[in-house]
This record gives sequence, C-alpha cells and structure tokens, in this order.
Amino acid sequence: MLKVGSRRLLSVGLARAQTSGIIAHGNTTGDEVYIVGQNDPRRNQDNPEFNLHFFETLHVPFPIRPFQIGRPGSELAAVRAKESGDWKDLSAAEKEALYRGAFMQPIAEQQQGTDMWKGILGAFMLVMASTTCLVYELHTDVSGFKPNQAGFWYFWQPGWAQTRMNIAAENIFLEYTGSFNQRDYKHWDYVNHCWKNPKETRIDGAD
Amino acid sequence: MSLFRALRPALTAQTRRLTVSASLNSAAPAAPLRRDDVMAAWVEYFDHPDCDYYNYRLGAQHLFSDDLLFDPVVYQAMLYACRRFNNFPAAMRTLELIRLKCGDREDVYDWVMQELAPTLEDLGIPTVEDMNLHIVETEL
Repeated sequence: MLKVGSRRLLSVGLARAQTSGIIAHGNTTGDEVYIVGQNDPRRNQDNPEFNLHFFETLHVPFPIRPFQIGRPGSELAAVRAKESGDWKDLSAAEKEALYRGAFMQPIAEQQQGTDMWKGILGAFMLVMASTTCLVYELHTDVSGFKPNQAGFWYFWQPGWAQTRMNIAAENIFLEYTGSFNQRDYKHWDYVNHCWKNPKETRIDGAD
Repeated sequence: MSLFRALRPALTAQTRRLTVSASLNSAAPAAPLRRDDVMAAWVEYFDHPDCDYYNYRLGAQHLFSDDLLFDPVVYQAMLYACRRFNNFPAAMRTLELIRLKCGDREDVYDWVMQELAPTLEDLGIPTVEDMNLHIVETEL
C-alpha cells in the first residue's frame, strides 16, 4: 500500500465497522467490513451492554449516546462513577475502558482504508483486455484489415469507395436480401451508371 | 408651494424605507468579524456554565467542520468543558479531532499540543499518543 508518512493513500472506501444502530433500525446493510482483531458489531450486539442508539460516523464524531450502556453494577458503571472524580486518579486501563465504552472506533480506525481498489482495478483491466482482443479479432478476421493497412477510420483509406461499389454490385448481382442487406441498388441509376443522388445521406440497412 | 411640490418626490424617495428584513439582508455589517472576536466567542460558548454535552457536541461539530484550525485557547475551553460535565471520552475525541484537523502539518500539531500541555497536565488527560489511539493495529 502506498503510504506517505503514516498516511494511507489510494484507498477506496473505509474499513469502518458499520454500526447498525437506531438509524438502520438494527438491521445490517450487508456493506459492513469486518476485520479480525477490531470491533465486530455482531460480536458487540451479543453484549448486553451494547447500545442500539449508538451511531458513530466520521462526519458526526461525537455520538449522542455512548457505545456501551454501562448498566448498574457493571464494571463500566463503576469506572464511570470514578469519572466524576479527579481524572488524575484514573489508571490507564480505566481511561481505556472509559474511551472504549463511549466509542466504537478511534478516528484512526475510522479513517483506515481498504484494498478494494485493487479488485476494482483488476476487473477494469480484465474488461479492457478482452475488449481489445475482441476489437482486434473483428478488424483482422471479420473485416479483413491487415496491419498498417487500415486504422480506426478505415473509410478514409484509398480504394474504399471502390470497395463500397463492389459490395453494392455484389448485392445487386446476388439480389441479396439477408439481414445485412445494403440495398444500394435502390440508389443506383442503371441508365446513367452512377449514383442517383451521391450527396444524399444514407444509412446502411435503413432502406 | 410650487417649489415644495417639485422637491416632494425627491424627498419621499430619500425618506421612504423598505421593509425591515430587506434592509437587514442588504445591509453590510458595521464592522467585519475579526479572528480574535471569533475565538473569544467560542471560548465564551464553551466556558458557559450551561454548556452541557448537547451544546458541546453542537459547537464541536460546527468547529471541526470549519476549514480552520482554531486557537489553542478554544481547545483549552473545550477540554475544561468536558471536565465540567465529566465526559472523559469527549475530551479524548476532541484531541483526536485536533490531530485529524492538523493533517500532515505535524509541526502545527506539535505546537498545539505544546500549548495544551499545561491544560492536559491540569486535567489529567493523556495525549492521543499516550493512549495509542493514533495506531491502527490491523494492517489490511
């Protein structure tokens, strides 16, 4: 992963454990990212201290309700009772318990990105590669273009008008009425041996 | 009399007032808002004894949504407000957001934390680095 300093670049999405709280009506959306070793909302919902009214977003960093309820008699309730006293008397573990009881993820974890961009880039390259192969085969095998003989604007090459007239004559000669019928004979002047209206805009197969 | 009638339209055009809301919307402020006034207003907001967690998160949401790093006195007032309504996690989240707001400017973050060091020592609040809140343990 490309990093500058301690920051992660080129990250698509956030590896944030989605809290399906009161806003999601307790339902999981299916878009959750679960990371081993980090807060798991499913595991947390088995906790009787889990607060359904908790919702935490990077855009709303101060949740209205705490992450864990802290029911009377629990360890968290005891620590929260000590919170009213001097904070210098709190140990590091108690401060950690207070923080983890109020929030699900620190800001750093909420900012953490995923490697989903690799999969997106891979799928995009697969589509581009197969499309390139298909276009190449169409140009060589179907259209009969040779390398360095015709490009994308193949109708600019010399002799293309003659090719079109040959195709028209072939259609007229065979009275071809298939699905790819050009039907250019409608526009051919058999008396004067030229197109009836050369400047008329015609779409192949339109009539 | 004729002179008075000739002047009357001009006088009414000058003295005629629009509605109050229109004049309020179109009028420029008497003096531009200065940075020190903004900082003092926020300090007064967070120092107010009625500022509970509800008002705190309203103000903090506004403050951290702004594309601006406030003076350390404002953050100091915020930390003391957290102490007043006994919310230690809110103080830590405030420090986290200060760190987030500083972004890549580690020198600015160091300066802000240097200014806040007496406050943290007074209140017994550890820094973000002390609680390892800046470290993401799982590498994806």
